[in-house]
Amino acid sequence: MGPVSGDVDEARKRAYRYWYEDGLSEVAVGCLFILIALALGVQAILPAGSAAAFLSELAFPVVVIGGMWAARRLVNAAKERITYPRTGYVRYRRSGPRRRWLSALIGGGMGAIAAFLFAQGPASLAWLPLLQGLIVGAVLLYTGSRLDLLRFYASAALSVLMGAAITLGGAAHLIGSAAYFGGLGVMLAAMGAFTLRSYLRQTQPTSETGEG
Amino acid sequence: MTGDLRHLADVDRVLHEPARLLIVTILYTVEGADFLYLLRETGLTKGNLSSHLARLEGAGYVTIEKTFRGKVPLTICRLTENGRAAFRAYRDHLKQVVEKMPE
Repeated sequence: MGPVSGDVDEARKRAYRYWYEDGLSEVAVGCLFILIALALGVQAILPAGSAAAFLSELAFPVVVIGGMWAARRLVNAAKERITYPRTGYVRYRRSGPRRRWLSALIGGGMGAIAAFLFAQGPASLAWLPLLQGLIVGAVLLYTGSRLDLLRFYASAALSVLMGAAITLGGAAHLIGSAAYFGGLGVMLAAMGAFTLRSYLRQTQPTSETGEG
Repeated sequence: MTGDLRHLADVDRVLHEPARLLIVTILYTVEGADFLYLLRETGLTKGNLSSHLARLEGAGYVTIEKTFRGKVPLTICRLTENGRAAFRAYRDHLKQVVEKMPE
């Protein structure tokens, strides 16, 4: 029998990490954040109370949900063409009810906090970038700790720093949020692109994936 | 051999082999994986991997589905429910054995 790479525990972690090995999901999330930043930027420049501003507010959730759907499809299509022919295909188990409840709780919590800030008035909305930085940072930190990936820890730290810097800079809430999502989006997309470049250099597509 | 250590011999010998344990551990973590992924993760040769997969399939722990992705042949391996149960039983059995080992 030839050498058996890695120990058993590491094999489990590597299976979870594999989804992030090519950097494609970070590129997709980065682009999604940039799209959100553009949508927020459009809202910020439109005259308050105008029909266009109202429509852009209505369109915002559609942009976010549509963007998430498109990002997922694009990542899967890119993996089919780039990743699976090089390093193989993995089908992951559907997340259990506990994780789905946790995601719903986080989403609901974010919505509740944002609604609370809106209700407090314009001055409270200035804290939104910091809040966004903390929440996104927490998600990145959790992902990093689960997968043992250093770049997620770095992204988490940058998310918090960016949110804090924008809030301290005193930008109006839409501009501040647009700056946060735009900045973090560019950073994540760049990190993902760098990871993809490394992945492409280290791997080659195989002509067949069948049994030997 | 003491009674407590005697049941060490009852270990599942299909799983109690490093390469097959590694394969099953990888498959336990995911819904399924193709041959290329397993080849890369285990570091085995194609022949070795095929042989171990055949043994696991013979024991009813793994299903091997040969399909195509476009024109590219694909071999998808999945752990059966028996395989998952066997892995859990093996893990629990080893924990008990290790706990009872003298220091």
